[in-house]
Amino acid sequence: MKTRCTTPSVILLTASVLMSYVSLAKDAVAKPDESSARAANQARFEAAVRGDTATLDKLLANDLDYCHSSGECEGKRAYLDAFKAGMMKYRSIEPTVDSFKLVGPVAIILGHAHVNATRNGTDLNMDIGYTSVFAWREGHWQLTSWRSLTLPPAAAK
Amino acid sequence: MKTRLAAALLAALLTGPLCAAAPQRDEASARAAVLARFDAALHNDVTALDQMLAADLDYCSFRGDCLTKAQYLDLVKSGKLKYLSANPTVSKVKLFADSAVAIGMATVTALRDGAESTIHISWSAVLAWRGGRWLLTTWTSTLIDPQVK
Repeated sequence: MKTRCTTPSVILLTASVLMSYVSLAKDAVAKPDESSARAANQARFEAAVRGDTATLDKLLANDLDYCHSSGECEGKRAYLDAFKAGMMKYRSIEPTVDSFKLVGPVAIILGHAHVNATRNGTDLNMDIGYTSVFAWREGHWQLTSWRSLTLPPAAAK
Repeated sequence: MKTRLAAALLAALLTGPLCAAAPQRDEASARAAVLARFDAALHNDVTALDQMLAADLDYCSFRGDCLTKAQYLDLVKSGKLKYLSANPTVSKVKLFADSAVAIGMATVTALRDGAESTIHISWSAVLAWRGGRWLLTTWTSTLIDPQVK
């Protein structure tokens, strides 16, 4: 008669696989809360720095109003086209979040950021104040409104 | 029968105007709320402003400084900020479940600490639907660079 023994390594491997599944399941079910909205805000900045238009396409709502520090507002398509055409290239964005509010399925984030970028061939190294408004749609946050303004160095936090 | 008819007519007369007056959570009322806020500010009507501004208001001016509701009302009450004229236009209103996001432009002339200035701004307003009416919960504006457009 054969006795089948389970080795400790097999037990560890099984536990590890199970934990990974639990972790993946947890990540897959995002909730419309402050934590996930802050993560979406951060992910949007990071995608912009990477020039990752595929990720931006998912994070930006079709009804996006993207209002630049010049006061000009443009839609999602125009914003993404400027990226794809290389008219806008971010080298770094260092954002902070100053205030956060949830109003039903809408998250309002106010913050500051230091931005290092090139726009239409002009180098920019500036501090901005920003307002991001995210809408919860189909299980994830999408940026539906953005407004920024250039701050004098003394006003930047 | 006649009594019932009269009662029904009376009820219709009494409730009709009330129903019409009740604000609805729609684009038109959100647009009206934004414009009413400009009007109240222009008339230094602190009482009306108090009713239109949410307790959790973030009022961020084109300078980049953000004020709470109390700070903004104090600014108007004290006379440090006095609007002389405001010509706002609403470009777009987006409705969500309990909120609305509006964007637009305005030309505003105001006295700030005694100094008069006229500015052209692009603005964004987030309204929250609370207690059966729209309240301004976030305001941000950007000074339009005259060199840009």
